[in-house]
Amino acid sequence: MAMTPVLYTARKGKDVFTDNARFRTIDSTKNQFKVFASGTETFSLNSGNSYSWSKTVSHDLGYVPLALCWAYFAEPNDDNDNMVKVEKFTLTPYAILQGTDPMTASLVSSMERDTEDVVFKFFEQDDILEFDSVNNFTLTDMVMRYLVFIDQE
Amino acid sequence: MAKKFILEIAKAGKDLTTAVNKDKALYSPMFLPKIYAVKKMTPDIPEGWVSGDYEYEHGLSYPPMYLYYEQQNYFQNNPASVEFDPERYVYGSQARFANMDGTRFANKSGSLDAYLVCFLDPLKSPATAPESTTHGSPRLKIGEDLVDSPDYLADTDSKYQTLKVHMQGQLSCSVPEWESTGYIGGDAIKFNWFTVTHNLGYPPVHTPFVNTVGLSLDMAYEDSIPTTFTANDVNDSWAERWAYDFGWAGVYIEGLWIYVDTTKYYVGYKRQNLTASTAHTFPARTVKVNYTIFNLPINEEFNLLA
Repeated sequence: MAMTPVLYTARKGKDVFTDNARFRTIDSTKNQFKVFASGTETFSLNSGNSYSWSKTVSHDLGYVPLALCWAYFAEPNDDNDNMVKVEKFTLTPYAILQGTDPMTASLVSSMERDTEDVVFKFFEQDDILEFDSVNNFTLTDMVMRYLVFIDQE
Repeated sequence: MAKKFILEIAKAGKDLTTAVNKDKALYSPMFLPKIYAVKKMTPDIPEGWVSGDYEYEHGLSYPPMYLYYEQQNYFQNNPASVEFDPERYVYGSQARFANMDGTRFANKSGSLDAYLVCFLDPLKSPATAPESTTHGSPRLKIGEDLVDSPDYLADTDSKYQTLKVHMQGQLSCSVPEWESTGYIGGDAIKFNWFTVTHNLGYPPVHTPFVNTVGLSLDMAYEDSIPTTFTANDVNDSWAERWAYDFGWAGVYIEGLWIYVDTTKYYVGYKRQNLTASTAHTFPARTVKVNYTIFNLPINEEFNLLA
């Protein structure tokens, strides 16, 4: 009977054969999630783009791949009358709606995935059912980082 | 210029000579995210408060990619709801309260023990790249520059943990029709649980990334929930509905949560009639969940840079 070769590596101090498989860092008998496309983008939300921006990653894989995205976000300023950029990363999707006075739009990050594209969307939502009108706000040099895997989730 | 080698190994049952990239277990031109640490965090809750802050100083010179999960002993951390024995784990809350910068991960509203899965891969490259590290153990490393470049630039580096798949599939959940009363009638809330047995002996990192709030399906579909739907699709776009429907006042609630424990992966489906005395028949549904369970514990700390 033919032997099937395998590739195992383990964490430092662990034995690939005698320790539990979770300590293997690479194991060719299992699929390892691999990044098909990745990138970092800088964008702004302002009146010039109707407070909306998106990044489309075309993959044409024929199935919906796993995708991850982290991005800057916004929070109320000290006077609680507007929203300002926070240069920290949080996982998307997110929807941030704060009780500023006057009321500001919600900042939304969401995703659309299909068999051809992954679209990462960032926009301000000002048609909020509960409010007659809300104010948009400008965010400049927002940063987002994304991974699109070749693997399905 | 040095020649760059490629490592490619086909998945079980596939022939490497004919396999396309998705059929490969390893394919070094597509980099493997490198997990260097899992860190437990316990919130510092002031007396009389229900939540507090927690943070983890990662010691890197840049903000790293991360995932995080919370431990729950009760459904939605509510002792009046379903008790979990053993405890279960759920993907952590999204939004601004949990965030990462070049110094630390912080959560400003935590009430539960949580576990941060920290990648070496940067969210934003540092002004000065760190030096590559030594390992002191056999090491497989593939990349452009294996000597001078920081470890995070390697396509493959066996010093670090990878996202190895333990099992993957689609769980089809048949939620039966249910005739509810209003809350006065005493039959106003119902849970249906659907499971996949993984038998790993530890709660594993998993997908999809449905957070602690769960998927509010009545809100996402504006009370027109399809008879059959895929939860992964709703999870991608639900954020768009949350703010739009701020103040949403549905009375027939349907929601979905995902948990894991040491032996199983759970999809929980909750229905609730919020009226006082109006009977309501919740229709049967088929809910599909595409899932992946990784060979990596949520709740076992390590640090491969220590």
